Amino acid sequence: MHIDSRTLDNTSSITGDICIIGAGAAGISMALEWIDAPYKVILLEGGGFEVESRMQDLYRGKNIGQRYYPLHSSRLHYFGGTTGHWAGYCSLLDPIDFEKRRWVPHSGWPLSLADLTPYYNRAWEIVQLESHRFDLEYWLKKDPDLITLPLEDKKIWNKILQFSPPTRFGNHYRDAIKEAKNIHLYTYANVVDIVADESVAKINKVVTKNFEGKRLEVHARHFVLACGAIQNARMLLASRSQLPYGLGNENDLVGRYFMEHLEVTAADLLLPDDHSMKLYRTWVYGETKVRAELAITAESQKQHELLNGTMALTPKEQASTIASIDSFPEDAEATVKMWEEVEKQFRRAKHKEEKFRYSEFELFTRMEQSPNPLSRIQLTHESDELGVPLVSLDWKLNSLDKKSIRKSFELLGQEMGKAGIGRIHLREWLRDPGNEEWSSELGGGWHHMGTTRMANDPKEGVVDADCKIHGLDNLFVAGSSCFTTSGSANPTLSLIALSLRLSDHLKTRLSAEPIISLNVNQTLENYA
Amino acid sequence: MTTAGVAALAVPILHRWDELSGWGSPFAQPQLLSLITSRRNIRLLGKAYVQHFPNESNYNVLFGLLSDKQPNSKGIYESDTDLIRSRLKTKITADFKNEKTMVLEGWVLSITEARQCALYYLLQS
Repeated sequence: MHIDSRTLDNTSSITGDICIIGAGAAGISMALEWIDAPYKVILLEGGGFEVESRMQDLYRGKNIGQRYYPLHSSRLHYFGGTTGHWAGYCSLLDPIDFEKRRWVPHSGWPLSLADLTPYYNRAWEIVQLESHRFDLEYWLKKDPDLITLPLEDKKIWNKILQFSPPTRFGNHYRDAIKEAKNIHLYTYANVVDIVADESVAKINKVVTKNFEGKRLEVHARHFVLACGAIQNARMLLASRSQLPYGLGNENDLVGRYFMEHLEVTAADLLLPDDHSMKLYRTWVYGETKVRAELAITAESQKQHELLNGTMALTPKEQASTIASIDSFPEDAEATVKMWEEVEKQFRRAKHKEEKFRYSEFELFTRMEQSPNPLSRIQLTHESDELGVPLVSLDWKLNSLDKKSIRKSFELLGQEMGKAGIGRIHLREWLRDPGNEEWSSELGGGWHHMGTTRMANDPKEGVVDADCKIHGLDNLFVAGSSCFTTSGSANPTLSLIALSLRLSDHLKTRLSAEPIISLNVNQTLENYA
Repeated sequence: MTTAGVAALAVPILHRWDELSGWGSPFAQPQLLSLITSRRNIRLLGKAYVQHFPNESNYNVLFGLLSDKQPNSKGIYESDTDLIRSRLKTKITADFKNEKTMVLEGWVLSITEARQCALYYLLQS
């Protein structure tokens, strides 16, 4: 069921069992799980069904740290969320990503990969992958032309990525959500405040607004913030009518530990002979089903005290001459058009035969960022058109991040040399181990993680292992803002898996709770 | 033979490859590297190497390090080119296995091939 909030009477009030705030990958994945469940699910989306500049402006913010993409165009504020310009990369977090690592301060999730695996096994279908299998052996059997490089697998391994078409959640799931009788989708319902009870132990309601001035009060038994890492943190910090530091923030952790993936060309690989590289083929939009990236084993990470990262091989003749951080559009609508253009270009080139044999490659890394409390989202003194404070992002990196990239490529160079197949040539910005500066081409994957990180101890995390905000009985967070560490995997599949896990948890909670009538006669007196 | 041992030799040693001025010498031609980068670059790598390791900035020292054999009475270390190349290839592989590597001007190289670059540089100088 769909309701355009702009058509409602002002000061309307609605009530449900679950209120999911945000209809992106996390929110829609959760909502799909509740279709035909015996509960009323309210799904709030601030935007509509198309990208709108005025709506994107609500996501403006300042970058005050390491150079980063514009905050209002690296995220999309409409039904479907940032899947509207998603590239479709899917891979799994690795076991080591969940472990407490002595050399990685603030590492260690309160759950393991095994806890998430059953949900990965459900998440793959939501993003239309071919299989739940990410093991190399499965894919090698499917295609005899997939040949691995002859590297020692105790040091370097082949990490499989599958590619979603990509699934544009806004298009793909719109009908299913609209037609579901128990899912009440409210568009143009921007949450501007989250209001707790007097003891600030439980959330009573959220308040939404839109440009038409319509205010909506939403009551529910449980609330789930699913707006992405930046917006989740922003909403908690900005909901400060009862506590000056916001909700869930008694230990000053909300917004901290912002993590991205460090994505940058780090080296070149030169081989004296062509090699069949179909397994590592560069990503071709809408066609590549699977590819491998080289990754440092857990054993090597432990031995050399490195973060987790992968290395993708792009034939030099296909490599882009412009780094994504330099070409990323300021305008969000342009980012969507950019992908539409990529798809058109692919369709035009579809019948061009690819040879798969190359001898010169650019090596692109996707490196985990070490959790850094100084890397953070904060509120600014400026507000958006709806009166919610805007944010600043202070993306901060440290020496372990750069050391991990440098050493990983040295290790790869050693393995290439051992195998006798080629040599690695580090890019200039990596050559001096004493130089802490970063390449101007350093970008990220538009992967926003960690701002409501997960930990058992409220002094170390914002949410617990069930994604519930510490200290608040019925406020949960869905998505990558809960990640304790970032791993090297693109986060979409993992955030969906984590959201499905949260969904199961909420179903268990609801089924065990007595039905309580909510006071639905409250008005928006306080917001007049 | 150690670096010190070779450096201690007072008698100038003549080599069959002097007249080839470097590139023809299998000792001064890092085989795989020569297939993926230019001679100019190999020379620059060699220059960088000897700047890092000035005590190896002597082609007798480098010959001694690269060759397993003692020079004969005429000062010639080895003469079988194919055998030299094969042995150096094995040595390079072993360097990578034993992490006897270095990053030189961004290249991740075995110590042996870095020395080959250095020898080429000295023979060209």
